[in-house]
Amino acid sequence: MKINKQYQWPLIFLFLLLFFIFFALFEENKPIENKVRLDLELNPGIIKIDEKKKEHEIAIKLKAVNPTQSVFTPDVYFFRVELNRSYPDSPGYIIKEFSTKLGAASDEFEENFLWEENILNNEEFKFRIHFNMYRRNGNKEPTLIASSTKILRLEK
Amino acid sequence: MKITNVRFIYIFAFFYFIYFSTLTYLKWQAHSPSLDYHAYLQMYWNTANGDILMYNRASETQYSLFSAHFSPFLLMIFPAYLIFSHPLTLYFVFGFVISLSFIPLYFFALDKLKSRLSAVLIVLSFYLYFPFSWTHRHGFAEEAFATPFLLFAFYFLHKNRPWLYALFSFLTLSLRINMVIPVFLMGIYSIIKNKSRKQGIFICSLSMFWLFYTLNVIYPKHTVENNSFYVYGFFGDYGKNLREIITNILSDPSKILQTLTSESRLKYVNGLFGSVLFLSFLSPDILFIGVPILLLNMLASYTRLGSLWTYYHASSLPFIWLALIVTLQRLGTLWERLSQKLTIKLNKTFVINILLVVIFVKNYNIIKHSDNGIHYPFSETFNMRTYERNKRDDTADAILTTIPKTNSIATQHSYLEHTAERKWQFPTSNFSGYYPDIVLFDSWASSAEFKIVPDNKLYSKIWEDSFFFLYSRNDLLKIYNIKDFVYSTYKNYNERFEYLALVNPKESSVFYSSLEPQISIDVNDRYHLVQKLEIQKDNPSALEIPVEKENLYGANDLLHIGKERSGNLKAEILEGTDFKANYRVLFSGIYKFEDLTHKTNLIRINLNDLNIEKSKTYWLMLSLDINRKNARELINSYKTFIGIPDRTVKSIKDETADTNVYYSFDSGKKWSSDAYPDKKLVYAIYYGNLVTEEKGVNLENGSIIISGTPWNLKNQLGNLLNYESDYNSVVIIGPVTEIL
Repeated sequence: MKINKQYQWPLIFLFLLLFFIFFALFEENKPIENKVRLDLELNPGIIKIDEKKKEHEIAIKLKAVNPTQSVFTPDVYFFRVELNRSYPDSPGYIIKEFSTKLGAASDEFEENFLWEENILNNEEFKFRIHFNMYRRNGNKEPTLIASSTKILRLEK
Repeated sequence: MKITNVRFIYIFAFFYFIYFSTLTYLKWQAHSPSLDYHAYLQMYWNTANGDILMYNRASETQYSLFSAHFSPFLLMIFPAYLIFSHPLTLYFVFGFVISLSFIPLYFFALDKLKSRLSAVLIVLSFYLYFPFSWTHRHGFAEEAFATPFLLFAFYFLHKNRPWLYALFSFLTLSLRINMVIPVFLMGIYSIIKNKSRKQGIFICSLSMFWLFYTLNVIYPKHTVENNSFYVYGFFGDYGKNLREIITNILSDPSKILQTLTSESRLKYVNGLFGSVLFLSFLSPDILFIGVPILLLNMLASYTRLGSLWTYYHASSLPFIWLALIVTLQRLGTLWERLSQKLTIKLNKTFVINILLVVIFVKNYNIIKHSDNGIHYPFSETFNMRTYERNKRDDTADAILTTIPKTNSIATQHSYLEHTAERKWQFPTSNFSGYYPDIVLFDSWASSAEFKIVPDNKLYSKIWEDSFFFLYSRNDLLKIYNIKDFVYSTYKNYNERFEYLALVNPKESSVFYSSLEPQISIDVNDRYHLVQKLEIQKDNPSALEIPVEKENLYGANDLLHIGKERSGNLKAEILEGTDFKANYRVLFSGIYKFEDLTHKTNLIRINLNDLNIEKSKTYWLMLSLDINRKNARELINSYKTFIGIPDRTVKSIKDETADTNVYYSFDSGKKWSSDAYPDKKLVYAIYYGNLVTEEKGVNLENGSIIISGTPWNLKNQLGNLLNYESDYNSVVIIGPVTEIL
């Protein structure tokens, strides 16, 4: 197909205009795709590291608020509590993973965890606790729906 | 169309593609990594799975390629990966496009020099030109595509095909931001030379807009607030933003001159121009397009830019060679004029071809005899071990291809091209502090990162063999009785998710004399080795010793195939208190030269029938089995390794214990024991029954590694219930979701 010469320049400019607009609007995938709000309470907020103790008990209070009133069934959605070193979306140490239905406006879960000392020691980075909600994605990595993060303060 | 009618250049380009693809495939299957390919592969896999152009490299966060380089071209070739989702697809596309470089170069030379022989000599010399080979044989980068694109752009400009010129200029711009420079200057060239002037003005304007758009729209959008743009890091010594960098470069001309004339920079210039006898400088009207990028590379704080063992000069090569062709044409014309006044009557084409033969021979000599030629199979420095595959590669592949893509992995650089098709992957060199699901260590990885296996309670060792160590993070790992898993607990796992399962034979264990190999030592007709074996328990099942065959003629044994040589490696186990006098040979094995590779092989000796007892003394002797046919034959040589004793094993304190590595320099007549104090010959001894029958075993020591949905695992593991005497537990890796 031969393009008539008089259309060559307009077509080129149109192509470039669309090209530049596309990349100006192009956004990388945001990790969180839904508006479910997750609240996370750490108790205590500061962990005192006792070098003689192998394990430290930390209570975590979790609250999921569902302003959309959608029913999130346990077969499709699940929650994960994890510990990361620095960044919110780096691969983390999974402390607890569980499924529950989130149908009401809000649900609360209270959990106590024992964390082994070796996870916390010898690291000078910030530790973050995440309370994440995921949607299962076949045999692919689950999709993160909502997240709440708190920095875990450690004292020796 | 008859094959004889196909022009030489198309056949040449096709063979170059086959040549590139073959070498790349051999390198890939031998787990010899190249620069950055794993990062691009991970990015493509992420793109195919919805995270467009995202990757993490050694970082613990995912980021977009556009934060580093605005390279929309990578999205243009992405459909190839969608159609053929294979780790090598990107390599093959790369090789195909690079192979096209020869075509415009050939036709330009043919046009200018009017001789097919001259054009062929140009193409052959360009193939031998080492800065070209390094742009695409060392690794993958979008910038390397600039060589064919700019050659096509210039050729079409020369042929007055304005829209094809504009198309290839656009493709070049879409590689990286620095491509704005040669594309802009080629636009200027077109205006000055009055060739496709309208398109030249358009391309100049587009280049300027591209620069503005990338710096003001793309980079701010993809860079974390208040962070300096990634590309400025290449010039970090001069400043944090464009203005600072330019001001500081221009404000100190003496420093700039000093940098440009330093030894390494002059070597850089010599590597690029010396190979073409500096003739390109005689056509500055073309060379000026490619020079600014070279100057920037030479000034950069990131010294890799100023090295020819990468791809950063890829956009300058076209103009060095196009300028060479124009110079040759001009010299030919000059010669024609001169020869009218001289008595010597030599055809100008003959003179040009003489120069081209000199260039060809010069390039051939460079790659034949120097490290610059490492990528050419006929170079003395071509490294055979990079392309060889042995049994350990099979083991690595059995593991790497089984791990589900949903699991994050940390492993040595050698294996990253095989683990890249997943969201998260990390090099073990930066492993500390990350928490990937699975960690694979190989003591003999070709990327030469000899690693101490981490003493980290966050991870558990789930399998080890052949000096491979596979770890899983504790929170993901559960051990079940196979029967329990098959009958009930498989139901606890998500039926749609894939899990990794590992079954090890009962009561199996390994003892390593050393996990930190430090020195390689020769074993040949003169040098023999002996060390007392440390036997931990009665009846060990196998002994493994790492060995490599040596190149007798330099790095490239390929050049000497068929030459006469003799001598196979001999490994013996002696029983007795004194290996020199009071012993009997319990085992003697011959390992043929042709069956071993130049990279580490593990020779495995089955000890099951030897009835070895802990209370007795055993020695391992390595020597040469030789039956010389004539005096001209070369004697083969082998290497094995010694290292520091394994720190994880508590040694039995016995003052009388003989830990010496005995070394003989005269074929075993006299023995020295003080050459390597506090070191041990590296070997491994296995305990437990080696399971050899067919039970789905896919790893060396009788272990089974499988993956799949819980139902798949249940079915596969169900077969093992018939072999309860060999296997009783299974390790499942993947979180159990507890339904509350």
